[in-house]
Amino acid sequence: MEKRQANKSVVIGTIGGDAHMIGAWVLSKAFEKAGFKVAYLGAVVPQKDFVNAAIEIDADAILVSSMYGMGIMDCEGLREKCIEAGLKDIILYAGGTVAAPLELEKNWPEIEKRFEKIGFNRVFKNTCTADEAVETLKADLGIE
Amino acid sequence: MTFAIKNERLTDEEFFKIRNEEVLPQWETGKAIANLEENIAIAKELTQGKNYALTLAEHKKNGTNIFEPQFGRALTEYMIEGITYVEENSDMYPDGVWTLFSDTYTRKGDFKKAAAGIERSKKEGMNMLNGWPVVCFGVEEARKITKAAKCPLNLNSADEDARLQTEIVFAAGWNGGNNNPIMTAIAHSKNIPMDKLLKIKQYDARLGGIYTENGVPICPHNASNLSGYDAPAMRSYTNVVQVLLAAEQGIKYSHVMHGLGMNMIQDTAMGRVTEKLCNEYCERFGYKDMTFIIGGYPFLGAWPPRLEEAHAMIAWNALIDIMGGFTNIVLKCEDEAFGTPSKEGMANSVRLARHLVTLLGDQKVADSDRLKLEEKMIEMEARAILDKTIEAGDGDIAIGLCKAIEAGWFDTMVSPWCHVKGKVEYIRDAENAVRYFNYGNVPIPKEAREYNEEKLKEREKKIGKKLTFDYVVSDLQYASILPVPKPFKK
Repeated sequence: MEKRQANKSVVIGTIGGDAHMIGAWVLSKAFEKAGFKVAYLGAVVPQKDFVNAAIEIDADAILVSSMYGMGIMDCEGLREKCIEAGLKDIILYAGGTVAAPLELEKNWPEIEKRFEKIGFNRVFKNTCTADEAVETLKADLGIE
Repeated sequence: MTFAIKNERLTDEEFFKIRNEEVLPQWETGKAIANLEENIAIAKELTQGKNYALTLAEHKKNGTNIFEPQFGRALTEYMIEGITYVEENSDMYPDGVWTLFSDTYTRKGDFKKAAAGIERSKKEGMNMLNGWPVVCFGVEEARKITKAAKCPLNLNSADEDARLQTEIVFAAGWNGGNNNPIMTAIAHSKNIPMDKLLKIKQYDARLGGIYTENGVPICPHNASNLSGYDAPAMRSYTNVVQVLLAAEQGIKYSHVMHGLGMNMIQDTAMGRVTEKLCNEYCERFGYKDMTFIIGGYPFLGAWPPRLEEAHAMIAWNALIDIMGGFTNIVLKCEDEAFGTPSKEGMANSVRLARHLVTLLGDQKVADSDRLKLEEKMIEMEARAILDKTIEAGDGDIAIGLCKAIEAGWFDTMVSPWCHVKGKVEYIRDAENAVRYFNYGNVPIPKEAREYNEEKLKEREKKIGKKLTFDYVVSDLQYASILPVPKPFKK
């Protein structure tokens, strides 16, 4: 199948009921600086808003930030919504403090497994810097 | 623009109309607390000798510190297990109080999702929510927690409509609660207009007033953590305005809880200025017999993800509280970078802070010219915004606040809330005190601006570079990024 042409565009926001938006804000500045078109949705963003914004800017990726610990539950179903909307190739990243239980946070492979299962391409620890996220996405898109 | 709010006490008729029509019907657990008189009587009985407000006030009077760890889990049994563990492993009693927090689904009023989170936690055999779902569990479960705890309890509900949560926990003998509309909007809201939010918060405050008048003193958290990264004058302003709003509804005790910026001199000055202004403005508006307990909330920016650095943060924030003359030391713990606090982490934090109190004796930040100068600047700035607010509201602080936000006199740099201008920008100076990089529309007096510029120049001199917006962004993570070990030179 033909792969879509990357156009350096991302959707960034904090999912579900999460108001902790500094991480997403820093990320949006880093992607803008790297020449990306950024649809920055701020905090407390429902899944459908991520999808609608991705359609609107023809996004390469949706970057979901979650700090408050309920990221796993909030992210479930986003891949299905993307597929329904015709965005089947879109890259999905999640990052932050994505699981409230420390037993999960301290068992990172289990978190990766869970996010893979719900259709996310990658999940990042909260120690990831914004520049690392930019470089990783560029590599995944095969662009400079 | 006109605003549908006035800083006036709710009448009994208004209060009970809201209670019966808007608050109790929100969820089925509202039924069990229909009788307010009975709720107050039970709360009184349950908190004999462990009232939150009176415990704070007593420590303030005695000049001693109080420790306030925080905890929240999806299930009641996890709550009781955690509280008991910390109390038994930290000598927290009798110098401690608890902040227990509800989960975000409950805070957002999505009780169905909170209920699903309870089921999910049971199914997975672990805690899947970021707090205790107060409303789904209801008053009898909350009373179980009250009975299990030795120390007094406060609820952090931290969002727009906490009225049913507040009703439930007050009836269970938790005598704290939130009364911080500005803080709520800045840290947790997205769209709600301030006048609408103030109307909701008047209810919580009036409920606290009714309990207080009937022998169960309530001491809400009056928090100014805001975005986690704000000028000290914005925090003082926030605390003073929130005190005035709550006092109108009959609140007599206020835990004036500052978000710390983590510069010792600046934070100390902030605490002093706030207390002075709280007293002065309450007197001016005729609110008598007020008790302010000054507290410090640890830095609310990003935390370091390693034990030693996290402990350094806990200790430094506690040191600022102790040496800065704050009564209440609110605690975060070593888990902060990773998730909601564990019972072990919280017990460690209480022990750590308690030992600092032991080591320090009566040492306090010395009364110096530097401290006085910092106080002078913060006071000048806070007064400028306060007085414009009162003038714009024609003496009504609620209307004034709405106008101050609209005009950008009160502002924050990063907030999820769409009504705040977001024009102001902050940067740290050479001593890591928080300074303005961009004043936005904040009416900072000329003398304070000159002082601010001087402080920015000191940092530019130190780093040998011009300060740019890049520093504004990188300063946000100054406390959380761990250094990469440098290779040895050959």
